[in-house]
Parts: sequence; C-alpha cells; structure tokens
Amino acid sequence: MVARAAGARQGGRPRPRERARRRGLDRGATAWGAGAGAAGSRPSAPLLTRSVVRRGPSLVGAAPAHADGEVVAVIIPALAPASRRARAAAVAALRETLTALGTQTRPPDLVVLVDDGSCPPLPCLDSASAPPLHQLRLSRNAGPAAARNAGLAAAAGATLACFTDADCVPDEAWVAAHVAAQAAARGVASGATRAAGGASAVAAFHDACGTLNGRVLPSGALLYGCTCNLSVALAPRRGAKDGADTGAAPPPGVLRFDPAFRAASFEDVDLCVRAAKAGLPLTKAPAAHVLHTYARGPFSLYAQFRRYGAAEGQLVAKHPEYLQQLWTSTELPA
Amino acid sequence: MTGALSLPPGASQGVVRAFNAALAAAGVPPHRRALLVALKAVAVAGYRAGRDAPAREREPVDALVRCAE
Repeated sequence: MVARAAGARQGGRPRPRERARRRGLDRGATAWGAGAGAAGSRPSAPLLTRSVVRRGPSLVGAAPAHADGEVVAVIIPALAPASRRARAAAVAALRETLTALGTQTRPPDLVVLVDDGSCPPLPCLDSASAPPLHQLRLSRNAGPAAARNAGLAAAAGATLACFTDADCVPDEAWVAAHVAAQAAARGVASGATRAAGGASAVAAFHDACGTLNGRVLPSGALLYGCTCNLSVALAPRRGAKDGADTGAAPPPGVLRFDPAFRAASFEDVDLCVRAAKAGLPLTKAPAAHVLHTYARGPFSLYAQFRRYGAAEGQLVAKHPEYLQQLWTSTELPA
Repeated sequence: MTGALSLPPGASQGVVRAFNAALAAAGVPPHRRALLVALKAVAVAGYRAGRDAPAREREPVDALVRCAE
C-alpha cells in the first residue's frame, strides 16, 4: 500500500505521475497554495521575449510630447484561444481595442501588446489606424501578470502605464481621464468598466454588480481596481518645457505584478494592496470608461467566478488583512 | 474581478438577499430583479466552488497544454 501511495508499481516502472514527480513536474505538488513562491514554484523553461513589431519611439529619456508632462504606455496582455473560430473573434476584438487606442483624444505615446504564449502565435496587428505599437511574444504562456511585467519592461522610460485587456474597448477619452486622475493623486487609479452588449442578462448582471469596477473602502479610497481599466504611475512626471521632474517617485518594485498569480484573477488586487501598504494613493478615475466583452450564459458566469474563488486563498495567504478590508468595502456598480 | 462573494461559510444566501434588496432599492422591476438574483446565485456558487476546490484543481490550464491537446 505504501508503494501504491507513493505512485510506484511493485516490481515495475513507476506510474506516470511518479515519474513526473521525480522530474519535478508534478502539477499537484506545485499547485498554488499558502506560501507558494513566485515563478520559482513551477519549474519551467526561462521566459523569453521576442519583438514582433516595433513601430514607435523609444521612451527612455524621451521628452513628453504633451503638456501634461506624462509619457504614457498602454499595456495589453493577450492570449488567443487555440480553436480557429474563437481565435478569429479574439483577434477581431484585439484590432478593435487597438483602433480605439488610435483615436484617443490624448494619444498614448506607445502601446505594448504582449502575446502571452498564444499557440499558434498572434498575427502582426500593426495597422495605419493603430497607435505606435510594440508587439511582443513570450516564449511560453506565463499568465497575465507576467505578460504585463514584460510589457512594463518594454515600456521603460514611460512615466505612466495604463492597462486594459484584449477584450476591452476604451472610451475615446480614456487615456486623458487616467492622466487627469494621476495629476490629482499620483499612484494607482481605476475607472469604470461596463459590459459591452448590455442587452443580455449576463451583461446586465455584470453592470449591476460592478464585476470589474473594483471596490471602495469607507474612507473613499479604492480597495482595488481591475486591470482592464487601471493606471499606475511609474515615474515622476517630466516638466513639459524644461524636463524637470515633478511629483514623487513610487517605491521600486511595488508596482509590478506578482507572476505567482497565474490566472487572470487577484493579480490586480495584490498589486493594489501592495501599493496601499507602500503609502500610494488608490483613487477612482471617474471619467475613464471601458467596455468589456463578457462570455455569455450562466455556465460561463459560473466558470468565471469559480476562477476568481480559486485564487482567493493565494491572496489571503499573502495579505491576511485583505478579507477584513473586503467586508467593509462596497461594490461600484457601473 | 470581484471578491464580494468571499464571506464566511453559510453567508451565501445573505449575499444574494442583500443583492436583491439593493436592486429593489434601485427600482429594478421584479421580473428583471429575479433574473439578476438568479445569476448572482450562480456567481456565488461558482466562487465558493473555486474557493473550496482542492489546490490541484485550482491549477490554471496552461495554454501550451491546451495546445498540445
């Protein structure tokens, strides 16, 4: 019995699971849980980044092109489904996102699109209507948190990073709204997300619950915002005329996502909790609107919330005080 | 994402009831409210199922694994 429990067959080859465990690849042994480390808890090949498209200026040391003194990079992680039909829909949605970013009242200085190891890879999405674009591809799927960190690395020199998702369409004043919110309080800002196709019952449910709107504490500060509509101040603004820095610099390393959060779940909450602990303000960007396309039907809704629930333990293990804050916070209906 | 559903065991019905009350206070018509409350119950059930699942089941599906399949 002991041998069976260990996964080995008596007098024969070890069971496949045992062989995997010996190689250090046992998925169960490296599953998420309390105290799970960052990427190191899951042995795998090193994460490499390859540039697919690079159209636009380097932001390092760039003088701001706008009077607000910000150098803005928009970062979008993307993982296209493998099935042909779903993939075509995902690529079409991504083109719509890029088109919306190309028609902003305050254009972003660079858009960084990170293909999070889609298989097959995303096609080149550069077009005349798209803003300056840097399209990257990760060598393997590493999750949205790691993909956003790769985008941040590619946006070196930016003073402000705005995040949205591949299934979102930002309002035309979205970047301007985040710039304005960061001018009022420099730190983390998040705006409202409405469901695209508001006629469906599930869309109406998400709007009523404010599923991706974050939550607000009794003090009026945000407990967290969601990465489909989030901005993070990376560096002090630069003076528009003389290049002099204004504003405070955030603590180094705080404003990066923890790649241990492998699914699109709670990685934004973790970043916001860490930012709050570091003393950075978390504020609402009331004019920053994004339309988000949700999966339809109750089964998709169940699966979406199941994914959220599955990551809760990971966050609570890292920030035990979170649940107490959560219970005093309120939803932000769209 | 929302963590609104993370409440102590046994409090799920309270979440749904509070949601119903909030919708009623917002003037949502009863037939619409019934639909939204049903969806809230689905979301609560999903969240709790994910939270209570064994760690092995919570492992996210790797895109490369999906691709290999």
